[in-house]
Amino acid sequence: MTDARPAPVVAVRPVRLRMRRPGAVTVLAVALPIGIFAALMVGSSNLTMTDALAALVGHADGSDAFVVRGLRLPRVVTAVAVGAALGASGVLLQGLLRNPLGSPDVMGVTAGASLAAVIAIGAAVPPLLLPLAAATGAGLATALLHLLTTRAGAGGTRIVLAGVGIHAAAYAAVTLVVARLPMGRLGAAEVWLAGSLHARNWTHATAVLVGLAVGLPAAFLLVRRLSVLELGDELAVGAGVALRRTRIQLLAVAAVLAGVAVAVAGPIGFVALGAPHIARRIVGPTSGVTLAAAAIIGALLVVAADVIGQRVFAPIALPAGMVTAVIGAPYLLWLLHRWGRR
Amino acid sequence: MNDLQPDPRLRADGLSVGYGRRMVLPAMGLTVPDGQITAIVGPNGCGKSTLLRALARVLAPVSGAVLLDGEPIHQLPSRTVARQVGLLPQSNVVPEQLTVAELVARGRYPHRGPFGRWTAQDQAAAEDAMHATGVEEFRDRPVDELSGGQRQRVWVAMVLAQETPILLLDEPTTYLDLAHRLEVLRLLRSLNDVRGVTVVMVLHDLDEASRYADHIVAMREGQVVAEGPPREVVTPDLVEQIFGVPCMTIPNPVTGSPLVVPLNPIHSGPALTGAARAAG
Repeated sequence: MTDARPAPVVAVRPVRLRMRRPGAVTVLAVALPIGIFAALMVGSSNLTMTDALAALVGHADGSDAFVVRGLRLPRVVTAVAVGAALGASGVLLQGLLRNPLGSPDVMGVTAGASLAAVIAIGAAVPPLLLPLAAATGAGLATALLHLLTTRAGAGGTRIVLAGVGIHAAAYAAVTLVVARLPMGRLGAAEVWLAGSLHARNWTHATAVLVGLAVGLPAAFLLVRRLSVLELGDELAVGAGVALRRTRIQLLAVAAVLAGVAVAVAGPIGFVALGAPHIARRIVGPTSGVTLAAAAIIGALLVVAADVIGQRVFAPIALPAGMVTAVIGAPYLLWLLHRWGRR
Repeated sequence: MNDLQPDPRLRADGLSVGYGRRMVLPAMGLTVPDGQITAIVGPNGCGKSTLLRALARVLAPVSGAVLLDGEPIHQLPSRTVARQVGLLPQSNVVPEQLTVAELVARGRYPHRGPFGRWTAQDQAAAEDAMHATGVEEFRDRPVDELSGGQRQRVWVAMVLAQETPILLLDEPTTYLDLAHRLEVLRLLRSLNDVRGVTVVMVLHDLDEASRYADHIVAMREGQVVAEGPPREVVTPDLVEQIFGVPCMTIPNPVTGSPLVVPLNPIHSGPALTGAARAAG
């Protein structure tokens, strides 16, 4: 019967697809470079727009060029990549779990990374291996989440409970490990646990960019399946989504994205939770555009949190993770409030 | 293979399905008649939804198989099956703010795959499905703001957009009022009449099943007790056998299909006595 119907050459009244507000996406795409540039201008020494631009493209004297290209640029690039990875990871996990709270920082993925990182700090592994440990922890926590929930066709609620459980257990273990750390390493652990972009260099930026280069395209390849999967397991099977495989792939990609982000910057909270929400409010439900928007919003949030943390109480610098926590807590409460009324 | 009658497209062969250790369907065989509407009926917990889920490959068999065109459905690529067999489950999730048109468009997934573009054919199928279910007028409204009846029609539209020759529906009329129940059943009837779509649905209401189905499968405790045309299957004996309700059947004055009328409903089962009522 499909073949019998003459296919119209030009689609009339297109089914409104994907892009609800193309203007909003454009605004986001413009906002990101502006945010990056602004972050390059401000710091312990503020530069004018022309000075920052000159330093960036290499026509400035030594000190400005060093500050902008040597210190601020790798830090901002790291912040952008970390935020984008967190935002994309949140979209995948929230869609898979069909729960607005189902982000890596609530579901124990970030906590698993933190636990692995403090253990690594305790074991005095070289700082360069810290990201690897954190990423492994994120992967293990995600694998545990999968194992606990894959049996008996676990629904969204059960997965969320399992995730909250993993989160609580991992953070309890973090506290235990930190309490037993020798004084000399306590500082390192606390700095890492706060979630900071302080002194991030091109090695960090490269690490998270590599993860993003793998994870983000993979996320885009999965997003259409996700948009069917979020309608219910049975419906998704009926529509031809290979349930088990898709779930594992989504968890794996979400773990890679959250893992590299946490590995490089520590547990920066709220971004993976909030960026997808904001993205959906602006561009609509799960789609490639939502994913792109969430990545950009995540990047903007982390860049902004880092700049705010550096400037608001200057010369005392707050870690970005603290700033996102301060912004995120009320947002979360508001979300719960709104959710409770539905 | 040389018979004049072509092999049925969908059938269950020695199918056993269970949840964990509890076996719900022990070794059953079922042939879905092509080009007809089949209604699966039976008391709560008799395994009718389980059977439908197994036919739709949502549940994997413990032994035996569901065969689509002779091939075990669980071993076929999921998207290949989804172009032949559509499923409307009992409960689905509506993402916040998803519009009707966007939801219906997702029904095109098996034809597009993870990367395919939105084609004119996808467009036509989605439009057609929205038109057939009468949800065009709220195409741009969020699904979560619609009434239960409207929402059910939207889900039906999504499954229709999948354009499958076989359609499985798990209690498609539950939670709907009389008018919307009739609307959904009439739509399925016309899909079958006009396009020859094979429909299998789980129904609670025997009278609805008798009226709208060509073929009735009556189940009890995981077994098919009887199957055939409504007039042969829906009899006082069978209704008593599977539901334990003594009844008589009379021809439906409009269609002639059997109508179930329970006997002595007050005195044959547990009921409040005057004393209990006074005490309560």
